[in-house]
Amino acid sequence: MHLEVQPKSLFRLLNQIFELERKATRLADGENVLRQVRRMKELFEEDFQLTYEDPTGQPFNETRTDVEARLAGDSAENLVIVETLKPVIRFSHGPTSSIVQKGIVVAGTRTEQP
Amino acid sequence: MSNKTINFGIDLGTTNSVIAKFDQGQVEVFKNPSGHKETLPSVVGFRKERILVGDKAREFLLTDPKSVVATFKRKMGTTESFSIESLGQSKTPVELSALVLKELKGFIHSGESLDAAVVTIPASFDTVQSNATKQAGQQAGIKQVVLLQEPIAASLAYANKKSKSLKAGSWLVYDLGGGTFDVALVRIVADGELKVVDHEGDNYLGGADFDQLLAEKVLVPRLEREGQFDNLLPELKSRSGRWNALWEKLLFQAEKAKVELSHATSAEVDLATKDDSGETIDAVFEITRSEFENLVQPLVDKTVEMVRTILTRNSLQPSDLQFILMVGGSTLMPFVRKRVEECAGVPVACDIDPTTAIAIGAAYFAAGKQVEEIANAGQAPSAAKLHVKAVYQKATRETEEMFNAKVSGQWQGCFFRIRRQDGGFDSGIKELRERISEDLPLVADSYNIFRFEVLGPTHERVLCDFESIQIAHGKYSVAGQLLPEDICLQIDFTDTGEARLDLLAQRNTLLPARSKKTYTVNRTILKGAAEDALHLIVKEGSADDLPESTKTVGYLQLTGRQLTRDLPKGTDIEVKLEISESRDLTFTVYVEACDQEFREVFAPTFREVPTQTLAYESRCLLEKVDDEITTAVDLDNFESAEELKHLKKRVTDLEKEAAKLTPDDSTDDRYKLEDEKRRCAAEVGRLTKGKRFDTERRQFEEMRDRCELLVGEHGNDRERKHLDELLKRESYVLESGNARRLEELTEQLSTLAFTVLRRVPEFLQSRFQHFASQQPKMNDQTQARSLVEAGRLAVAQQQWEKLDEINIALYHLLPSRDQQEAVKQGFTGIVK
Repeated sequence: MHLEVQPKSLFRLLNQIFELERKATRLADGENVLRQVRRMKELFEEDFQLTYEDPTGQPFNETRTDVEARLAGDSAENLVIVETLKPVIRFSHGPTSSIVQKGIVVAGTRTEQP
Repeated sequence: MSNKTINFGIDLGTTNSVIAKFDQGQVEVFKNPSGHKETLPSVVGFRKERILVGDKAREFLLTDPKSVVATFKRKMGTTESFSIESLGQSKTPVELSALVLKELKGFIHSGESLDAAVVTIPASFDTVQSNATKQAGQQAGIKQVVLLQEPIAASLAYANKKSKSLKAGSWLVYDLGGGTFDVALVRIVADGELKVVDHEGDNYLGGADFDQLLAEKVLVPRLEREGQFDNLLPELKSRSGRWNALWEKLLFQAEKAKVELSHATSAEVDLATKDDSGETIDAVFEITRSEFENLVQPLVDKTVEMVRTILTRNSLQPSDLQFILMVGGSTLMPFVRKRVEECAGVPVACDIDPTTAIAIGAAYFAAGKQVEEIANAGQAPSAAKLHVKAVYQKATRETEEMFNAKVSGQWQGCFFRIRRQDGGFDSGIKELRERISEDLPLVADSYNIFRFEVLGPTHERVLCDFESIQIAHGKYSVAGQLLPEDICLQIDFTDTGEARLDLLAQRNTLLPARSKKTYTVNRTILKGAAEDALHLIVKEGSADDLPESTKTVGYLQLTGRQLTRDLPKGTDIEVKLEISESRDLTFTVYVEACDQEFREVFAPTFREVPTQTLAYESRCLLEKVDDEITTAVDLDNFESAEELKHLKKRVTDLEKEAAKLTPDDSTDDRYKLEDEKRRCAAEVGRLTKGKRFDTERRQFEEMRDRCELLVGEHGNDRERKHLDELLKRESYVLESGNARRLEELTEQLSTLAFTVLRRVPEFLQSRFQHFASQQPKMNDQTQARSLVEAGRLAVAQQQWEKLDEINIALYHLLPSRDQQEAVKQGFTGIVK
């Protein structure tokens, strides 16, 4: 069987796994689900060299081009990523990697999101 | 005129800009090297000495409006300028447009220079505005700028897509972008020329308004029903509002739903947030296509009204139009196409990519335009070659590294830019100076390759001898080799005078490396005395092993003859070790008392083995083996004792052979014997490892129990916390079986215990009584007497802090031999 997989389909799947992981984390007994999520992530890494990153909590400034940010609040300084709407997806090739999907994030000051 | 055609087409849009090139019958739309998008937001920002153009600038548009400018195209040809707070000056729309054009030049991956281009302008632009656009092109280094109206460009793209000529007659170009709307009536006039006959537009109507409506009218009311919110909409929309971050998220979700509704009859919005009372809302809202269409219909109808206005103004019936050509990203919405077709009564043409059509059309037009001679003749000489001397860590475990460089050559008026190859970092365009620096964020456990570019005044690439920055993070170490073994200094152990190793540079440290430590001189070296010496022996091998089992990689002897004054026992020497990438060891000793520095470079190819040292170490090793045999027998460890006896024969032979060597022995015997000595010492270490660890363990347990008791009874919160931290390491250190680590932990406990003890009156009194009994021996009798009297008074008045100070002063009056009573004389003459 010859099955051709489009990279964008894989990115879409990874975005869904990211959502799944996020929801399972919020569940009180989400560990069972998270185990499968981790396995899926490993499969993506082994078979397609694709991994995703959740940059929530990381500092944000104008030199970060791995994410597209929607800035909240009225301050443009000392920003952090307060929420990740889409993760950063990387494709590894040997010891280096490329960003194949920029993350989409909301950045603001730490106190922005109650 | 030359035979060369212009070929480059640029859509310098109000909201977004695009660059394309005609090449052998095809048009290629260039992509932004960062993110690979075909469109570049026409937004310019000036933040922290950087020029940002495009997506990054747009992100800061709302939060930093005093430094970021957008929609400046609307002001082209006016005297208005934009005040930029961070620069302390204003920028004209022409200057800002030039920056967008310069950025687009960077999209040309083929490396061609952009000397000539067709740049599009709205149909509404007058002569002054057109000239201003031309000027922007020239400021960007484009010597020949040919202007083309946007509706004409779109029409050309359409004609080429359909691969047939446009029929004589009229049509409309309907351009609904992200933030603006334009409609133009285009006609082929008698001589076959395309002409924009009329136009209408709204500078504040586009796809972003649809997103906002969906968020405001659908998502927000549903959110209010799911949770408890007070004054939600104002709190969402205000930049200082409590829920402003959620508003940005709602806008993103609305845009996503809008795109989904272009090809599905319903879309789901998945929202998780908290409400005013802190309750979590985890909801999925379904939006149907009809719901969305009802919502945006008034806005779409507004555009249809403008279409009708044009028709009425030009006395046209819908049947007079061949088609309405749909361009602009928002025309991808099926509802827009359907509504326009229904209301205007004219078929819509949706055959071209609406986001790039104008640039593509401009490129087709450019293919038929010849480059004027002036464009090449007037070419500026390329900037002189620049030399960049860069300094940065090539391998690191830090999350970011500082890049520093010194630039020589004609750098004035130039800029630089650093971009990470994976697309995750862009420094923006920064002014080039003689010395530059930039913090480079790194991807963990990966090679980080950055492209360094120097740009000329019009942002053209300038020749430079430095192009790439490579930093290995984490597990990779090819950018710098690692130290294969510990590098240590041999010192005397104060308790026994035995030699031991003190770590200077740890194994696996990334080279180049440096370290600095202070040691105490443990014997007085008299000025001029040849026989008095400090022996600084640098060793390579595990710091946990016996010194004899490690290799000597450097040796520096300091005799009294080299000193300008006496070096008293107890004074400090500062030892500095630098290890180059090629493992040259530069060893520097600074003798504080004499203000003298001694420096030695130990090349790795040269093995220093003084015969005197070898003989001494062999003798010590033999004594050690004897001691270990006695101890093993005492402990009934006959197996080890037997093995040690076998070993003793080897060491005895070694000691005899070493003693025979003269200092100037020219054979390689000294090296052979040194190897044998290391092998024997390693064997001693192996056979006695358990014993050493057991001894350390007993001392540790004793100190731990003592410390727990003291801290429990007399310690403060900080000391209790410190003790907890030290004891957390106990199991790890015990499991490691490493005697040195255990010894270090014991020392730390001992320091803590002593700190606590210095507040315990009984301890202070007993210490004072001891010092008072030593008074006759003290160096300055008058001072000693006065201190003892003051001490007695402090005891009587229970002034414990004062007594502690007196104790310290009395300690320093003791002769140094009494300060370190138990110290035996070692070989090196230095201790920690």
